[in-house]
Amino acid sequence: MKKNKKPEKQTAEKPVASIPYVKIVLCLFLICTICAGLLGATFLLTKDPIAANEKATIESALKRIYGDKAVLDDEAVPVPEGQNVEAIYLLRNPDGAPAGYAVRVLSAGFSADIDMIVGFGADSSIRKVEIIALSETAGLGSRVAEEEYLAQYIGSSGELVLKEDIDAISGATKSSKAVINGVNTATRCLAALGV
Amino acid sequence: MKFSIGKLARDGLLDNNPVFIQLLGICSALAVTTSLTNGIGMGLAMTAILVCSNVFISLLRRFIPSQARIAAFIVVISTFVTMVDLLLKAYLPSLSESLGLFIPLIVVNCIILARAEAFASQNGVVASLFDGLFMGLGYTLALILISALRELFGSGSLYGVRILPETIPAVAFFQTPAGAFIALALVTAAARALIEKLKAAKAAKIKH
Repeated sequence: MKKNKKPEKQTAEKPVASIPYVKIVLCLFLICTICAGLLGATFLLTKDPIAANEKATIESALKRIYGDKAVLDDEAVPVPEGQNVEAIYLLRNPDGAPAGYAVRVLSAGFSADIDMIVGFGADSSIRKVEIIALSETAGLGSRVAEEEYLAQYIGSSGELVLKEDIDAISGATKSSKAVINGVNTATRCLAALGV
Repeated sequence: MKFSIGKLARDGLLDNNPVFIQLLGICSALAVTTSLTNGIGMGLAMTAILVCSNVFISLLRRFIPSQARIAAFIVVISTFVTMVDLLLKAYLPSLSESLGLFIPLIVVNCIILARAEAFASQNGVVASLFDGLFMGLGYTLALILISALRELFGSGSLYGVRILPETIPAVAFFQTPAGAFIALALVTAAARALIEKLKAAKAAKIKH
């Protein structure tokens, strides 16, 4: 083994001296430049549609909570300090009276964050919980996004406890826990908002 | 450079199918195949990236120094993957949502790197284009079969439409990662048996 290794090393060393470093650097630089250009162009092309999609997803979720007639207040609601939520939306009835606050929360699920909106009514009780995105196990944890499951949150308020106030989905305790944690985070945020 | 489209098609779809024969790209083939929609979407995204990266790398094959070729391939591949990811997010948001992390992960999918290294860096642009196309379609074919099996038995539907009557209980096992392995094994075994048969039939034909 050892005897074989030596001559191999020598032959391997020879081309090392003749590696065309300048050519490699120039070539990679050129390829990276072309790729950066392509990426920049795609980014500019897709920037607006992606932002519009994001906005449409939020708006349709808010519509499902507050009905088609509710209007999203243009003014952004500042998130109170120390509250771990993504955004707060103020919804108004067509006559201008506030319909309630909706809080968007990311809650750590079984495999990734569950992106959800908790909609509160004017009386601070939960109007509806909407899941925007989740990547829980299909057929198991993903069932927490089902309408029938989320329906049990409607009308409740205050800090909720799993298996007491809210049923868990058997075999998907972690995902059920993630949803209730998110809802409680939103409730705390609403309390901090002082409404 | 001479090549035959028929041979490339046969290679990509059957004789050298990236999933059934080469068993490459299994990670994504297992993970996204919970529904037929996902399988088709992932397969087509992969095909688009394979064609683009094969053509681009084939164009640059005389220019890329061999010592830096892997770095160059990865840069090219990740560029196209990011482009497809952004385009899906912009124009097919629901598909992009369900494929999730697996689009960015195409960067490290070994099928693409394997085709770049084994084919595109040694063959002409047109041949590389067809090689990418048929390898991609072969991958898509495999994903369609696996995801159809999993969706049909795992949730009783196909392409989101209920096929099996409610009285037949769904085998949720097929929707789980472990079920994915079983589905892959079943489909691969069947496909290999079929490919062997086709090969034997062809060999018999030549003899006569």
